Amino acid sequence: MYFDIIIKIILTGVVLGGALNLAGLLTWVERKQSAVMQDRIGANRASLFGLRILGLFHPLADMLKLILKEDFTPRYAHKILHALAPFVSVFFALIAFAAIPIGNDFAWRGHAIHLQVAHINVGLLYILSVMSMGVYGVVLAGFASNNNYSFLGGLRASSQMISYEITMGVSIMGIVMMDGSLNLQNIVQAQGQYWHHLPLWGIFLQPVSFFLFLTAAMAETKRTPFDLPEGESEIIGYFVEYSGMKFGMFFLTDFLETVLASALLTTLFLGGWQIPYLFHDGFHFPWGTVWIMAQPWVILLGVIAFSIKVIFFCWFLMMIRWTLPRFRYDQLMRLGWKIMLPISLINILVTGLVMVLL
Amino acid sequence: MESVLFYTFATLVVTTALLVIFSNHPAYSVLYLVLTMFGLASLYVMLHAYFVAAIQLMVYAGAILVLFLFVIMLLNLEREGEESFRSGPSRWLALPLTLVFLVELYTVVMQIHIKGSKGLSVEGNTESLGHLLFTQHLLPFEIISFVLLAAILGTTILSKRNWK
Amino acid sequence: MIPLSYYLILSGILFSIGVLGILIRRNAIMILLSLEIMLNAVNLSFVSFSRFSGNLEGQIFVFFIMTIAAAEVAVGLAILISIFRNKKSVDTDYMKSLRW
Repeated sequence: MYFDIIIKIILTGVVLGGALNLAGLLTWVERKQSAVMQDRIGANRASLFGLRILGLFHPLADMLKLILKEDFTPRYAHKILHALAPFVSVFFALIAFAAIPIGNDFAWRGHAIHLQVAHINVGLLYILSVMSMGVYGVVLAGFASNNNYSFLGGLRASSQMISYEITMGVSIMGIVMMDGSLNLQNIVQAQGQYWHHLPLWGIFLQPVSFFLFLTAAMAETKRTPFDLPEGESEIIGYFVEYSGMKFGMFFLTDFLETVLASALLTTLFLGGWQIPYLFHDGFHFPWGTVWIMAQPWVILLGVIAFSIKVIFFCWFLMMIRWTLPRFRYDQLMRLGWKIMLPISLINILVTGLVMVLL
Repeated sequence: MESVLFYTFATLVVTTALLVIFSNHPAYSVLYLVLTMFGLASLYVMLHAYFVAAIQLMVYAGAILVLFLFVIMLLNLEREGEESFRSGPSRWLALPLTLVFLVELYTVVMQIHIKGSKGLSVEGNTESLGHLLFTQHLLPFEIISFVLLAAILGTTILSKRNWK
Repeated sequence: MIPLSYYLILSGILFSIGVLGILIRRNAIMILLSLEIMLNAVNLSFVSFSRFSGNLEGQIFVFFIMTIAAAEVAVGLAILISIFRNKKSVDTDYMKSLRW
């Protein structure tokens, strides 16, 4: 009993710490990435004891700046809601990580240990509902500021999030149909099968669904091709009236959602913690070589593989963000409702037909 | 342990529901109702209805109440205060009538005795519910989709400003 | 184990709160919200019946009720918006005419 609770607490700490640190680091990655793509050097000035290490102290400096800034509440704002909105945003972005498996299940001293904070059988539904709850932060920020610009930004952001949520939910139904489970751990385990030595990862089984989900996830995280809700430089977003750490929390939510989207993409389409040809007792390569490994190392390799895949997707989303220009609002809505939703529905139909015929 | 949880969530549900109907600004009411939905979802989890709990959050808190908030923001209803409550005798009659109704419900509930397997084996997970839904209740399930289609059409027609 | 009657009484209290809300409020949005409370009270009693009678049918009913509630809210709010466009108010006391 106590042992399980302690394990869960440690696991929660690892997952939350990993997600928050990665999100904080992404602010630096984004600045460096944009600098590389625009042929600049990028953030490199922050130094600690004369050490600069590629500007890695910049996230710390940014954080300190945001905390020390004046926290200003507009006079006619709804005070409580205005203060509540950023916390709601961060909260729902954080608790969604609970259902994501970071490694394989294993037994240790007679205890079954799930490397997944919440081992629930409606895991995917849980994540979708928590992500749909994230819209409250946006709506509240727009409404409570009592400012026409943030109000319009809030309306824009919430209609975008609601629209793309539907595509997001419908597009992954193909994966759910093939694996027959909503528990993400089972979905990852089902991706450990092979078809003529080709690992049956979601991206090979459901390529259409992968691209739909990638696009919808970018729209949900409000990254650039879809950053109408924010549009820092031109159209003003829902958080104009926020300053200091409250603004920082909206910013953090964005990066947390990027990490969450990467984790979901990894879990659903890139086999989560699976490494090709790594079985529970070691590598069995198709050309016959066998490396026997002890169980702890296999589990550890799985966790490392999961982290590398998540970081890869974070980088990939950053690259898209600095490559594509922004959509116009009517283009955004047309893409969501008239193109992506029908394609995802047809995808379900085709998946069902193939499953019945095979 | 279980009763502590039950009383916590029951208190949460009842208080927030009361706050919903007594708060002055509709937006605050909607936000309190979100908390009510969370309490109800927790109660569903205690009743081992996991699928219904997830759907409750996704459909009610994630979609329906956002729609409410959206409309309130669109109409930009000002703080209405006292005048949004009914005045006159209907206001003072409402509470006694509701209490009578409540007592009536109580006496009925106290007479219920359910026979059967005391239900400890029933798990409302997605698999079992989906199986029931697509075998025994297939016809209502299909008809429901027509209800939704009718709602979509009706909403579209109603929201057109000048329907020619 | 919490007995069935506790859940049913909670559901009854919730339903009465919904009734009270409909009786005392004039704002049409508040009336729709009270309606939602009542629907949820019914859902709670369905789920608890389903749990205590060892039968999943109750949860199927809840599924259907939620679908109907979603449709009802969408249509209801659309009607409300068109009323607001015509009358500049969502106060139910001003909705007296049968046509305009």
